[in-house]
Amino acid sequence: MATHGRKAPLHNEEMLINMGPQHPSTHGVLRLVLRLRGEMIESCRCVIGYLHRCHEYISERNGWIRSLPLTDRLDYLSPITCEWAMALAAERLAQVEVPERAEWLRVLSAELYRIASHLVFVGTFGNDLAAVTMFLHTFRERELIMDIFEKLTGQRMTCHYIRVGGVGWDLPAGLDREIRQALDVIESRLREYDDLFTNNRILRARTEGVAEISAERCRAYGASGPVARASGVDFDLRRDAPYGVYDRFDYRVILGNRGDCLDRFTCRMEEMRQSARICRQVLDGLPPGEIRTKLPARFKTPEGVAYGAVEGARGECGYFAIGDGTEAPYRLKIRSGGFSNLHLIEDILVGWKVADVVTILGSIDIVLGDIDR
Amino acid sequence: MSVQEAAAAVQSELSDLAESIETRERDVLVRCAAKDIPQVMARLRDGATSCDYLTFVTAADYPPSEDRGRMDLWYHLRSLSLRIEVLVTASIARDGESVRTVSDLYPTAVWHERECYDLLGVVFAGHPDLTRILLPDDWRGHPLRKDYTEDMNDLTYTTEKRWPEMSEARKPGG
Repeated sequence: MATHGRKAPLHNEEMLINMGPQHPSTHGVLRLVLRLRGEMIESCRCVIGYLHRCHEYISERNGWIRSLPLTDRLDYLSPITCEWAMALAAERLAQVEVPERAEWLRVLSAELYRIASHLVFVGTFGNDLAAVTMFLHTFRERELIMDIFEKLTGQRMTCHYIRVGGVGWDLPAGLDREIRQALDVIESRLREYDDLFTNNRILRARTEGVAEISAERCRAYGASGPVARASGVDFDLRRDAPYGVYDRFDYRVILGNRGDCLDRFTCRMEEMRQSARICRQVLDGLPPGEIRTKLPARFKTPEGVAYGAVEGARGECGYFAIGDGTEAPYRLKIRSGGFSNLHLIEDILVGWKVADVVTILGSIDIVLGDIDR
Repeated sequence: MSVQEAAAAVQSELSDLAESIETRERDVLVRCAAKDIPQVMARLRDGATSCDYLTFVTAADYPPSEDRGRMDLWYHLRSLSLRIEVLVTASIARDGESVRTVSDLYPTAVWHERECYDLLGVVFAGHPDLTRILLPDDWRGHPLRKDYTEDMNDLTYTTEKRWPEMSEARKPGG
């Protein structure tokens, strides 16, 4: 109804908004319950669990070997992370030695997938900011890595490459040359991205100084991975809690200084370059030999506890296992980086506008499969 | 800091509280009484060990055989500056006993303890919001308890069950 010049009453009461569960920028099924006053967020509560598939429950019944392929479905954008963490927990519990060549191939596959995962981040982050160009560019480059994985494992995404005691397949002939070519292309495109996105005025205006997170807060909330490092938390499991053969490679741990959305973006851009560096070093020095330790027909883990954690694309992915002498872990706890990183959201969204939610959530880079397990 | 040095530091911090301190390949394993958990964690955080990072909280269920059964709690701590790992464990009774929350020391524990309550039924006293996190609010039972059975929840889905008022309206003449 027209008010005919009379002033419409000003509404300034609180408003409760459900963002999700179906929302394009939540990258899965996540619900944010936002309490707003006007445009400002007064509090946020994350509702998760829509994608809970009982991975821990299944693993405790199926046993190590039969539940290892399922780990690919957790963090489906970087499946190698979860595979490696689970294999690591089993190997530490049962004292399984991994052949040298297998360790190098693990590093190669993990770093390639880290690049693929960060490319998805750069693309979807652009998509969240309505820069669809980024999405199209990065998915073109990601396809190069997907092709490599298809040749290496037969699968693009749920590849089940890492096994307890080694890896599934050796590098096929000629693939090393192809990987080098792909890395060349990706590195040259990364320079292109810097011109297109990183130095783009609109992207900078929407990310610079937005949602700065202090290092103390990152530590308190258990944030890890690029989210924590962008805030200056100098911790990378590859360097600080070494697993595999990461101590033989030369790379830098990338740190941000402000901890804003732009830092989280540039940290990942830089990490892709470091990963490419590691991949080249692997290809240069790949030792010959076996790719898998022969396990007994019925692989059992003794009594005891072990924790295997790897630095995934989304932070610390760890498997905590209690063995009881059978083929299955008595208790298996999956610690995913995304779970703790998402918890941070409840805290940092307060005081920002609704329009920033998508940017901030995008900069955390969540995968709900990994969070809900 | 090496694991041996870490164990020595833990020993000096917790000499009166820990039941046992074990030096393992990568971490230090501390056993203590459940009632001392907040104090142990506070000392590990603020003392020479500076364990400022709680990686996860979880539990393992041991159903009754001869005894009353028990629930083992597990806390994994890191020091990001000293690069050490400490595992803290304690036992409580499966039912009727709670453990004090550590969410006032480590905010990240809010979600981890909610998950532990959701999946294992561990009650954390003093927790600001002890609700289910992964499972629906009306879920019955705690699935990672070893005596959980799948028939505790009726998972067949019908409109009649989900929205009884709607099926009422659908009846002929209704």
